[in-house]
Amino acid sequence: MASLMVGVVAYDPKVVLIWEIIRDYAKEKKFDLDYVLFSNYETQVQALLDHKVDLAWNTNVAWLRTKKRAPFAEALLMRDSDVDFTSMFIAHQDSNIQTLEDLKNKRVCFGSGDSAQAFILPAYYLKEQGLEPNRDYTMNRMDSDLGKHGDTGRSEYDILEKLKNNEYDAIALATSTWMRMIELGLSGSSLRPFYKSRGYSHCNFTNITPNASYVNEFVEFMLGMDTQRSDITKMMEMEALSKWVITGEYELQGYNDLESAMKWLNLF
Amino acid sequence: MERQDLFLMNTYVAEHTIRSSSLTQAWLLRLNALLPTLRMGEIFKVTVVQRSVSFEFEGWVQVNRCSLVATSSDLEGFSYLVRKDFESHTLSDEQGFDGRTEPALDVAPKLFGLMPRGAHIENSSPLYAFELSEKEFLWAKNVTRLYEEAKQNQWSADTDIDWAAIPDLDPEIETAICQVMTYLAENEFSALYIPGKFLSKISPYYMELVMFLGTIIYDEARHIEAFSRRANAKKIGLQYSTTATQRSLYSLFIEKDYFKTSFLLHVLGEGTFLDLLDFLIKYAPDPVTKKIVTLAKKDEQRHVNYGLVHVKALVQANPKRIAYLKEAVDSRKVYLDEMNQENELLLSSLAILAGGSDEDGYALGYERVEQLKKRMGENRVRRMIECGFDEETAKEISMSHTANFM
Repeated sequence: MASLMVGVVAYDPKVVLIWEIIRDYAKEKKFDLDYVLFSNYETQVQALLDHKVDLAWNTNVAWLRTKKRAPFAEALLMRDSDVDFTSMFIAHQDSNIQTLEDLKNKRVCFGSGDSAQAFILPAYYLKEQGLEPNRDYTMNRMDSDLGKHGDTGRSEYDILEKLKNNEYDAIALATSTWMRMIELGLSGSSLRPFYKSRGYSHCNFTNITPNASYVNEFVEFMLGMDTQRSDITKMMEMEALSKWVITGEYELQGYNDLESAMKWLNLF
Repeated sequence: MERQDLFLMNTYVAEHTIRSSSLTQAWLLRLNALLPTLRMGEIFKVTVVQRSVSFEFEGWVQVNRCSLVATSSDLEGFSYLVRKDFESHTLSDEQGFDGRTEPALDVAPKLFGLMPRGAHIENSSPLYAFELSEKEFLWAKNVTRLYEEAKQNQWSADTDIDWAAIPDLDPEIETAICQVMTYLAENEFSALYIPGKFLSKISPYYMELVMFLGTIIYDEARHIEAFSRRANAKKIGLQYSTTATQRSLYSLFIEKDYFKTSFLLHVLGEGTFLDLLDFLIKYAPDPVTKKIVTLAKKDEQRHVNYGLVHVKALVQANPKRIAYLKEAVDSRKVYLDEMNQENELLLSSLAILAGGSDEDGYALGYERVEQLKKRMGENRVRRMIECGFDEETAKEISMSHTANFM
């Protein structure tokens, strides 16, 4: 029997280390699993649709694009950190920007155009408040690492610099990125988040083949990982999770805002 | 349960109040450092005085895979009860090193880093492949006491030896001393390198042994220093290293088994050295040399005592292991027999020290060296019997032991 093939986007060299650990562990557990690296999510989604891979480790944007084209697509599993993911808006503390409404007539800069956390959802939150781009505020974007759906976080670091230089009044980014920026001493004393979004869902393992025999086996294998082992905990730290969770009703609803946002921005 | 009740009851194990207006780098470090000290499921309380920190703090909770169990606001500020939802450390329930408690486990835990026993290890720590992780093959019940003794009996080649007091000796006697010192230093290199070779393979879980081996290594360093300095104290200086000695030390150096090595080095080798050092204490021509050798012997005795208790315990647990040790001596002998085993420069120098350099004195010295070899053999047999060997096997092994003494 051929190996179960999982598509994974190589957004960072550590992706290889992560999947080597998973593959070695699978081998040990006599579960025939292998992975294929893709340079971007568009190619990965296409490969999944063409059945060149059995499963894809997708961002939320890639998941929704898959679902659009494959009606039986199902989200199987995610990291606990993919549930209730949030974004923030950051501005200068002394700028009198306290709420989203305060962004009226301001210059707002977002991250990459395919990043749910740094562009698609934050822009949608403004629209929900009645703020249309380039009518009620100036919309700018830094499209770094397109195709990686914001995984590298580079666009968020780029716009942070722009905000510091007062080129813009506010920026949007992932809360996790902001934490990392504080940790690295990049957050600056004059910058403050003034808005934190409600939670939404991030990545998942996507399957498009109905009743595939490998689905249960894969889910059981992933959920059964021995978290007492140092290779597994190392992998989990690198991948920023403490456990795998099943994508249930609550988690699926976490994609609804993004679906509406992508329709609005014509991103399907 | 009412959320307010959670705050009233002492449900939380740690508490912080953030007064700054943002989540600073310092606060992030403090919160990040709090997590590893908590168990999964434990709750901690954080109060933010300025509402502006809420976004960031709530973000921190989410990013760090914790969950909010309750929130409440009062005059002080806005309070959160946060639960840690994952386990980050494997807790050791063992008492750490205190100089009295022995390691409890027969096999060192697999997940155990370069750390003292009793420390709690983070789950994602690398797995060191310590080859030597079984207590039975490492431990001796006297090892902690020997470590204490080693600390108390430290001496210094600078302050404990009066180098200026070495008299000008007859050149032939001085040359003999220099040859003996050269030989001793060579052998001490062996006794330094061999524990060093195994040290990095031993799980730090058996830290008392690791620390004791550390003292052995320093003991040998001190001996190398003192013997070399004694040889170089006068004009003559260090003498010849022989193939016989180097072959003997090499055959010990390449042995891969710790148990076999412990037997060959500590019981047979250093055991035999005790007799040699006694001989030198008796026949060294000057008090300074006598003192160096006396101090060195005290150290060597500790090393032998470790080997005796270590080997005895293993042999008692399974007498078949005697054959295993005999095999080590025999295979070493096959190699050594290829060439002359005796270091004639050494034996001749010992004869000069024990009798003199003139014909009659040398003949007497020769006799005394022959008696020394006999005594060495008898004491080797005695030590092996002490370890639980039968006399016949002990004699056979003693006969096969290297003529280089170590």
